Amino acid sequence: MSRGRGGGRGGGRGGFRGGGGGFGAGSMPPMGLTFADIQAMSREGDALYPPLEPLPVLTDYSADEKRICDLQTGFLTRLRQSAYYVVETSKSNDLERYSDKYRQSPASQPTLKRKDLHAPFFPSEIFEGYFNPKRKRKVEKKGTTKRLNLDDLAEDAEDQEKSGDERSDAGSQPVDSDYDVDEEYDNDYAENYFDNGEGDDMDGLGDGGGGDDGGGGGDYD
Amino acid sequence: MADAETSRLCVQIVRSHFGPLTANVASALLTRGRLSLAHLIRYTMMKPRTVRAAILILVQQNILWHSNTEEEGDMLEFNTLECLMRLRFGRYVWQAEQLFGPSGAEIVQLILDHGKLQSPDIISRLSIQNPKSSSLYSQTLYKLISSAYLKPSTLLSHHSPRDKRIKYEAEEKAKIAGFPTAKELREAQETAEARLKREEEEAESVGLKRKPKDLISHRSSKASKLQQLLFSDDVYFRVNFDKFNTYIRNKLIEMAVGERFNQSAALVMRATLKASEARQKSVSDARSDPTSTAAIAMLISDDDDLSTGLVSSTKKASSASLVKDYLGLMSAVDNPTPAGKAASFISLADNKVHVEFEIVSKRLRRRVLEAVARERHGDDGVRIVRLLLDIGKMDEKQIAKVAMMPNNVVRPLLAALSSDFLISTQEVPRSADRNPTRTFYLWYLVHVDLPKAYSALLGHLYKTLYNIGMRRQAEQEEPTVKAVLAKRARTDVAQDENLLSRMERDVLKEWETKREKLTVLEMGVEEVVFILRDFDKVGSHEDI
Repeated sequence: MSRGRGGGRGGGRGGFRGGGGGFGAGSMPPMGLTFADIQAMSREGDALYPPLEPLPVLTDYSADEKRICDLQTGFLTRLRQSAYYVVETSKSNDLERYSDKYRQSPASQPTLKRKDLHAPFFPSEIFEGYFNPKRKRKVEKKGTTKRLNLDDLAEDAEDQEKSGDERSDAGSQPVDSDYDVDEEYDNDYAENYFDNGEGDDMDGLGDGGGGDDGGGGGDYD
Repeated sequence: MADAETSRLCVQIVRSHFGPLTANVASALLTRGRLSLAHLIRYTMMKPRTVRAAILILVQQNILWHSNTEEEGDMLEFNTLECLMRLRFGRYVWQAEQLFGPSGAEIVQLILDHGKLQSPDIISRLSIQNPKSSSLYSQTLYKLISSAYLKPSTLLSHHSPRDKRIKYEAEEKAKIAGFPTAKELREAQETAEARLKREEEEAESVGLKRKPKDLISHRSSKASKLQQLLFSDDVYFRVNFDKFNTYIRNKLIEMAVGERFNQSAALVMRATLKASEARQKSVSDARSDPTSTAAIAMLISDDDDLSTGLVSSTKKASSASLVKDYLGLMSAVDNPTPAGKAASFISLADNKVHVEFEIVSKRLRRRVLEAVARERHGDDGVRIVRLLLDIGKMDEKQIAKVAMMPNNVVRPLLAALSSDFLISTQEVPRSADRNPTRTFYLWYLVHVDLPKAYSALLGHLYKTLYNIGMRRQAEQEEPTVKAVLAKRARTDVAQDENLLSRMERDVLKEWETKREKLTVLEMGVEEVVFILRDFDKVGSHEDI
């Protein structure tokens, strides 16, 4: 096996052999196994949870540790009822039941109060945005309209956008301020890109349409 | 950004404390790093109002940093260490109870509930039931603040340290004229670090400096003087985890001494640690401040019998001399070699005693490593690990020879140990080109890479903690238990437990026992996490 390399090995330094290199060409499998061992190995997968012998059992704990656990669990229960647990109201269509009036609903969860929080500790935009939704909306609108105006080149596109924004304004006033960030994007695209063809010149429609169809059909063949 | 195990555990903690919606926000921040509000809204796909609420909650509880840069606006970053500390809150409150009584425990509990609070707020909330107790609370509050269990929460602590460091480094680099060399860049980095640390320390000592007027005034009626506390009312206080962690550390050291020697030695160690307690600021001290043997002897109460632990020729020995004997034992005075020093707990010089935290911490961590190796790979595995730790890098044939184990046993063990990251390999090529096919010429030297081994173990421990938490959640969401818990949460049942049927009460009791067992288990695993993570003196900023 290692005849050819024997000369190199003899001339090498030290008395130690290389770990993996001891087998010369490296045709033997690693970790001291032989081919016979590998064939004898089972080809099925190991169990995902092999039985654990002996099964570990929790040792007894002292009264101090119990007290610590109670305190830790106390934190969890108190936080659940506090203003720091965020819940969202969702409508459900289950039948109304008698015990519903006793159940805690998301509406009964206390919410964050402005007087409890010290404003300089928080990022100002987020703080104001949460406690002052109306004022926040005005600032955002101004910013976005400015950006849109700079980007537009065509005049009619600009007009369409302005009217689009007004329409989206009117649309979102009655709706909760939650949606204003998302609404703006949607409305812009819907109002500005889609051209429902009302203003097009109707004259050449038949020829143009027929020609287009023919061209389209021709492509598939 | 944190690795997968840590982020999963943090998200789970946030979910159980602050709800699944907040957990969404946390998981987006942990997987993607620091984000701005707009990106966060997009990635979590939640309503902007909810996301804002979640952010405010996390900032209030000190889990989120924020910073404002010109290019990017407000950026938010998650503080994983703070989040993981939440697992220890029960222990901190218990510790406060041991030290300051029930009023101290209540104060600490209230502050931990809210993240941070102002002092008049604390007193008013706690004295709602009983207005007369407000003086007791203010006294305890004063004690807590002056011994640094509570520290002021500063504006700086809310800004992400990474952002600050980048900013300071940029400022330092701007000062370098011309083309910067590597040395100058390094100096700029160090100056920025030092400036960061200095600012933090200055900011935190603000709340505590206002004692001069107090000291000058006479001690005529202490109660009324303490009531006119002169630290300013609008400072927000938060719990100083570092100081509480020193107690956990001391307990671990005491247990280690008890295992190594005996109970009486543990008592002496407890007294030693107590003597320098007031000056132990944080867990990252390498050794404690010096105390004298006299001070230690004073702290040992009379009913602890120290003589049971030592066999001495004289019939009756004074307590002070016994203490000296124990101290000599623990400082390995009989073995002045480096091996002895590495096995010592304290260092004794003249009459001064220092507890060697660093040496003990190294030993405890190594013990954890060996315990894991023993459990997974048996005694042979431990033999190999110990051998490599003592000697350093060795070839596998050498290992087989020195450990007196046959080659075909050593080889699979080495492969198994290395797949667990407990040991690693180092190539030494014989030939000039590193040609891997000519494996004949490569030597593989095996050694234990301690930082890698410890971080692998820490990852496993976080995974264990996550599994415990998942099990607890699964038990809670099992249908029968869930129905009973929902019923118990009703306001009419909350006031009258008899509305629950007997079976429901049994289910509830069983679930509470299971929850307790799981929490005890969690505490135990948390202790090991403490040894591996917080006990490490060199805590780098790129942690976790």
